Amino acid sequence: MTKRQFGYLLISPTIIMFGLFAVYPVVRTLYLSFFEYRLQFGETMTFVGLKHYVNMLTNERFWNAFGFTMAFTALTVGFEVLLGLAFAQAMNKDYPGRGLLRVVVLIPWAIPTIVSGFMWKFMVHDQYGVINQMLRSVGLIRDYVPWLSRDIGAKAILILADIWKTAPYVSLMVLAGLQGIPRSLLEAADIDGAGPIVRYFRITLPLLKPVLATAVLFRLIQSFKVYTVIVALTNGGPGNATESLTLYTLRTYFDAGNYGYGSALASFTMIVTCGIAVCFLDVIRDKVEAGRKGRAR
Amino acid sequence: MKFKLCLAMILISMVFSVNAMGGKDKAPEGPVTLNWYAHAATLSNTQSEIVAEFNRSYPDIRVNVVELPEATSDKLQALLIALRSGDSSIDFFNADVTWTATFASSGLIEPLDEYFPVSKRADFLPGTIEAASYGGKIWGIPFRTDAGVLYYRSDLLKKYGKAVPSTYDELFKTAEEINAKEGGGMYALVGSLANGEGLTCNAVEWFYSNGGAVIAPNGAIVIDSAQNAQILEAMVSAYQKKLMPEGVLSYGSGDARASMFQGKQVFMRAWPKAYAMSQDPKNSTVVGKLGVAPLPRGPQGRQGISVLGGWQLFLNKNSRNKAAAAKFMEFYAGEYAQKLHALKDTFLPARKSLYSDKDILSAYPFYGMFLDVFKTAAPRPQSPFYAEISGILSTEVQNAMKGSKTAARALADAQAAMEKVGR
Repeated sequence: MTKRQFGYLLISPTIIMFGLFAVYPVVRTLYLSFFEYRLQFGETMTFVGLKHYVNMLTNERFWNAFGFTMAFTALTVGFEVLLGLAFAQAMNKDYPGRGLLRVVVLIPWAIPTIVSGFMWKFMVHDQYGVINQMLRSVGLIRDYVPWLSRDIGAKAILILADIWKTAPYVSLMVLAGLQGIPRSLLEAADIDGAGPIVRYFRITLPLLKPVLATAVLFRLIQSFKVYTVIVALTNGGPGNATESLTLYTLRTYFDAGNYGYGSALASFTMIVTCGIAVCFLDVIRDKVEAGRKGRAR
Repeated sequence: MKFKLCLAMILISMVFSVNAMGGKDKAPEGPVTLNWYAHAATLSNTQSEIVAEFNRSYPDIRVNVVELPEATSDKLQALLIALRSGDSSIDFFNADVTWTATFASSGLIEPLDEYFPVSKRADFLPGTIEAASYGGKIWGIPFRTDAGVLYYRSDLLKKYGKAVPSTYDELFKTAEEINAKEGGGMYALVGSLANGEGLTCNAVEWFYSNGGAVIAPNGAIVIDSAQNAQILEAMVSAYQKKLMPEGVLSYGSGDARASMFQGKQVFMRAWPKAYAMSQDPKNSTVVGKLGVAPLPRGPQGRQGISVLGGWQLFLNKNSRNKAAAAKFMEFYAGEYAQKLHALKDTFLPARKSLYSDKDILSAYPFYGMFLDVFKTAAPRPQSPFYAEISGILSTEVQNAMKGSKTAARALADAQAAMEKVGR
């Protein structure tokens, strides 16, 4: 056995596991999406070609779910990045109480999503919600607002709840990135006369890009698959206003037992997330290579 | 030589195991162990008590209780995953009333006509039998039922000399008057109207109670009707006039109960089990102030009609102990077991005779009214694609309630969407 063959032998368990638990389910889901396959029809499977995809793309409910998921993803990730950058700066400075701040910022991230979802549900309740009480006591509203009974309200609360929970995660990633930036670079720029704003945009931010790209990639994919917070807060309501793609998929596949169409929905989600990942992998790899070249020079 | 011996032994053992598998449907000799996929044990652990009593007559049939997840949809998922893989270790299991058509058409369960013939069904409430039947066969043995009822503030109705309303018009008028005299801050009606199964139950009751329907007996979709539109419009206008809490479109049954228990409601639509909770002073301010009545009717309905909830036992098609399982299923749906559950867990029995049982009535006097409620109570729409039908119904009703569509438009859209289901 050559050294090379021995190498393959050593990694074979990983490859087998990966194939069994990652590749097989994905291929199987794609395969099922071309069949009419339902709980109610027993185990009979009928090949229907692209029927499910055509149905999906002509279905108002799908576009509604897709539109909401896209808007949700863009808004949550956008705000989380801005807030994450701000929090990370605050946590990176040296001052008394910094340790406490770092802990406090992480609390929302540490609370399970389903729990924080129910917490938000109580806070925005139309009869005894603390948010309504606060807004009324400062005179912003006259009557309690039934947030979750209105489309805009329900969407806004979901987005807020997700930002509140996940901005700490982004800030932690950015903080790690900030700590990796050599102080000497910033000091040199300072001596050359660069002000704090120039330093931030010319040095800090470019050097944060790889870590930021990773954080944004993770967040985009997670956000695109949003499910738990919706189940806790609105269950897709009012009407279908807050039904995400994942919620729609799970309802179709598991609740309705429509395995063929459910697989088509799942495959669509998978293709979109893979697309996102591929875009970002390029960014991340470029940065890594640029870093290597920089060092080589 | 050794190799040949090994081969021979393997062959012999294979022959024997094939033999053992051959006798699938015959009742096995000697003791058998049945696996019953059931609800998690109640506080009073009634299930084990019933199993122990069963074993006094059938010492050879051991019943092993396997607990299912808490939420009904999780129960369904867990069961489907196991049954679809051909798992024979599940012998029989608790099934929701809405599952009959889905399971029957999937071929995963055994029809029970042989074990539960018409002659044994006389004492069961007709609604529970109807809900267990599909395609001319019976698939479940009912052991527990449930029906939506109207809770009212008996103290306030008495104070202002009002009768328990028999129509929704009366209900809203009575409540408005009481609210005005009580100084405001109260709502007329509340129910579990968040998008989901609770809303489906409420809305189907509105439709049925106004002479409407969702699926006709011949299977045709008939949700887009004048009766349904009329009652839905009445509910939409009540919601928009704030006769229901504004947040009710996100209320589950717990939120609805909370509003009632905090004294903010004159009326509430809920399941009977809420009564026991309402009498606990730790989480209710209305102890001793609630009455329970049949649901009101709409302007075109002859009477208020409750939808049936409840549970039944299904027999796994792949069970190897069907005869023994049927014995326990019959026992669990028998008088002894249902009475024990009524007394210890306030479950509503599926058997008529228990509603005139002295022990039950002295413990829970309001059980007496249920025979009248059950005379008219009806199952939710029966369809193999029930989950999809229910999802469309609750979503479109919410679209009407929140005002993004007229009631008529929402029902027409529901009709169109339901007609596509299963295609």
